[in-house]
Amino acid sequence: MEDQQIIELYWARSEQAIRESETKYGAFCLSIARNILAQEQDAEECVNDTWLRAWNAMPPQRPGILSAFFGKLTRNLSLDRWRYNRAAKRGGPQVETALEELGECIPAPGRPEDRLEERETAALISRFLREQPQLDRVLFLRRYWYLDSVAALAERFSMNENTVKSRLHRTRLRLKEVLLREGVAV
Amino acid sequence: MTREELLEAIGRIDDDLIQEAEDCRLPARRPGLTHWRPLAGGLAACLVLAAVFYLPFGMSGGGDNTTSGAAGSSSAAQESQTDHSAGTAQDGGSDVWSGSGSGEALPENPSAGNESSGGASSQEGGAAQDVLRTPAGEYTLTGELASALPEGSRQLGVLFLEGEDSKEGLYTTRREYAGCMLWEGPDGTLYVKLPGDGYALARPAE
Repeated sequence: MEDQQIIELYWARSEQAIRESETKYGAFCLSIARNILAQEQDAEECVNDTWLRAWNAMPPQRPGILSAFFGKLTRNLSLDRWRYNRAAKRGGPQVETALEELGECIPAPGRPEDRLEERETAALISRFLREQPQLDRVLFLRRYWYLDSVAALAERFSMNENTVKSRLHRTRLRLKEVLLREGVAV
Repeated sequence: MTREELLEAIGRIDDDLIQEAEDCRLPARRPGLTHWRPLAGGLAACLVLAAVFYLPFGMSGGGDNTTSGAAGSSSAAQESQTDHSAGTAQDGGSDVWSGSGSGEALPENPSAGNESSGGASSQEGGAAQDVLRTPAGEYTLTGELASALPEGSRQLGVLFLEGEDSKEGLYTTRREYAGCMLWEGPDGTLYVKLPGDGYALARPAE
């Protein structure tokens, strides 16, 4: 079924919307949740919650890219669950490593008034990524949005792991420069 | 900003970037295809060297013959070397991503014009067209772009760079399209999902 038709089903408050979403995007969302959460059951619950969130969001929302919309919902729900699990020491390993790596991008503390809103930071990162070579952009997103492991990236792009790591490292350093220049600080 | 806030901010980046990262993938290297090419290249180089050294000294006959033989072999050597270096360059980039600098990016609008990084077919003279091969036959890329798939399209699978090992797969002569998803419209037109937005159209070859 076309994305537009699925959206129409949500707007028509038809429960078929959830079945169609699950059929078309269930595997996609589950792969995102699995990268974040160690427990399969947690991942499945987050995907189920995704459809519920979507149900509550549409209407009024009308997503432009439905896969990204569902993906964002799953990612947010999974990260929330991951935080909850971390408190109980049951977190998934990819988030911890990704967070460690992202620590390289954080500029030194600055004045509070220099701090950008999360939305502005997201826009800044989007602009930054658009300026990067496609490979670096896709690697960065697969690592820090989809939270794919380095090994999975190496396999996906037929590269060796060290190449993936060094490309990610260079992109993080470039991002740090941009964040510094634009005044993103603690 | 903390690391977690940064991770959250990354979570809010633009949807099209997320979609691009989802769509973009290269098929894993298939063992067996990658190893024989350097060997074949080496063997070709040896043959060229043998021809260069053998022909001037090993051939019997007058000086004129020798000279023309040497010139001929030298020109043959040059041609072979050209072929070989082209092959090597292609092999070296057997994954599209392995180049250096910014040249590795897939073009945002690959169907526009004949860029120098065109696929194998565009290296075979200016007249050659980029084609797709499916079990149903050969299709020619028309250069047209569509922003969305027509209703009723079905997914055929991921395109591989034209290979020699199977007639069952979906192949393209265009390097940039390797790894892209291929769709078929209800009227039989094929649609290659481009790394950015849009689809490149291909119609059955005449």
